[in-house]
Amino acid sequence: MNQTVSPVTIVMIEDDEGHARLIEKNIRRAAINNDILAFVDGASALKFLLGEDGSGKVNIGRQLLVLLDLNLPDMSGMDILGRIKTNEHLKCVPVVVLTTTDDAVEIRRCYDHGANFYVTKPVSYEGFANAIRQLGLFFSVVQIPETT
Amino acid sequence: MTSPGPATALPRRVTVRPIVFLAVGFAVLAVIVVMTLILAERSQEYFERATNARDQRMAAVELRNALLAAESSHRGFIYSGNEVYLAPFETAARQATRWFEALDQATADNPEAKPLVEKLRTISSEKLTELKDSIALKRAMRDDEVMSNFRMSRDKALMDEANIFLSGLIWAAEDAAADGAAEQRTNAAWLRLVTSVGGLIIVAVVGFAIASVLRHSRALSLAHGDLAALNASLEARIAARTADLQQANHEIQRFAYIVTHDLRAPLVNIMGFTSELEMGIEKLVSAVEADTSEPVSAAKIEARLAASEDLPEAIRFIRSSTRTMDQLIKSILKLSREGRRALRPEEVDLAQSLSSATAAVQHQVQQDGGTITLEVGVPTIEVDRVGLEQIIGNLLDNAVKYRSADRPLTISVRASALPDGKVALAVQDNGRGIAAQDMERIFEPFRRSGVLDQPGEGMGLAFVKALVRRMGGTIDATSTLDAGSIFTVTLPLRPTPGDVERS
Repeated sequence: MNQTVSPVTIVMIEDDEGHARLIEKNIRRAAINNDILAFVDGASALKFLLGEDGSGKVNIGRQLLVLLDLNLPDMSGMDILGRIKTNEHLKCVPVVVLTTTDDAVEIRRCYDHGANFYVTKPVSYEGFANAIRQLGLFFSVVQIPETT
Repeated sequence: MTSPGPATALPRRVTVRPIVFLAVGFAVLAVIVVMTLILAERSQEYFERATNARDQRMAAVELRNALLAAESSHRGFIYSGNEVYLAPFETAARQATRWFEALDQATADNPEAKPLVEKLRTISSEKLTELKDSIALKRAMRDDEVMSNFRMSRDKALMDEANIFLSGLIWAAEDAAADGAAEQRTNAAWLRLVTSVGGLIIVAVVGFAIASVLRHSRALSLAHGDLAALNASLEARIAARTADLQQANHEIQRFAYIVTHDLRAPLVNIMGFTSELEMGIEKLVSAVEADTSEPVSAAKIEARLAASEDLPEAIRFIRSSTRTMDQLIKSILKLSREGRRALRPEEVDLAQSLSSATAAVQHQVQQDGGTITLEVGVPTIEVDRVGLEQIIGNLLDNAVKYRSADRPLTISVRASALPDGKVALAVQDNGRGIAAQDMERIFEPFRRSGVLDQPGEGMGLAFVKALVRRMGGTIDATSTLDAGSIFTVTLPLRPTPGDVERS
């Protein structure tokens, strides 16, 4: 199943290291071998995405996919989503919100802010593992645009 | 709460004074009136006495004049023999009689004057008789007799005597008039004194009364103001407390939501890594079991035992506990999420809504030969439809879940209008019932009653109770162990803004 050779980098913003580890493991189980960059807080993730100058030019030419948790210690995931989607270079980067919240209002707000997908982390591990694996399979078939 | 004691006690104390003032004022007025009446009576008396004295004086003077006129006319005739002189005589005699009568009348009430008047009556009639006799003699030409009578001067003596009495009467009358005037002046002085003193007292009383009434009304208006302020602050306090409570309620719901939400994250890790552990153990077990090489050491036997029994058992316990915890968290999340859902009251056809709720459990009820009946005595109700369905659905689920194994289940759902604009929804079953000591607990979260042979977290009734309360209603339960339960939900027919929480 080693079909995925696209240079897409998965940017995982997840404060819970256990979750991050489980996500990574299960993505790997779906035979996704792309680089996964894990950030445990919003500030460092934004620094990577927008660069030192905050313009986002640093990522021009890369293919990025963001996995975003909404509950972060230093800022709301919604803010990060807003920053990505209002940045002229990053606005096309697909953002998958992956969070424990299944509140309809919250889901709605994420799509309003430009989220591409919203996935609720199932609370049972089987469900969780399944969801991540399917997400991995999904990543293997979607086309990700280059950042311009 | 502070008592408004001083504000209400003050008017009660000051109301006594105006009554005292009024009593004093009335007493003074009564004294003045009585005094005035007495003085007026006395004044009348003095006036009458003065009038009498004047009449007496006038009558006396006129009587003397009449007598003198008669005498003068008589003298003229005697000297001249001319009848012309006699012309005024008869008139004067009549006048004398008339004035005498007037005098008699004027002195009627005067005992002192009476003897004088009686004496005068004799004298004046004797005098007139004398004069008439003398005139008769002259007419009969008996001049000698006339002249000798003159010389005897009986005529003059009578007149002098009459003059003495008349003068006495005149002086007496003048004295009486003078005394009357003096008494009248004294009387008037008294009247002035009484009236002015009384007037002063009344003015003082009225002044005090007005002052006290003013003070009283000021105290009243102060008390009124205090009361109004108190009322206003009370309402403001109630509003503030209500807002605080609502705020606290929202905070608790928010807190419950966040806590449960945050509890899920570590739970995912526990479950996730338990699975990882399980997968690892499986590999370990197969490795250990695959190792059949000799010698079989004690350590190897222990490792085999751990891999085949202890580790899977530990994993099983971790799994079942995390699953329970997961269920609890889900229930709390559901409760808090429902608590935050905005209620939207709408016109609901009760018969339709209840029959769709009963239809949902119909299959389960009929499986064991049970029956479910529906009586709806209220056509429509204005209520949050979802909330109503959740309430009835939970109660019906409970009735089905906790049925008695000894008899076919019968459920009766009744809706009836209550007199106070409310609707009672009763769900009655013949299930296993609830023990008396459990009645308090059944509406609490995570509490269940009886044998725990059915799945559930004990959240159903807690959820129903919270929902009913939000919808402005109440829920009560009556139950007999091993006979059945009745759950009665009372909801307002038309929700008023006060009863129903709007989030």
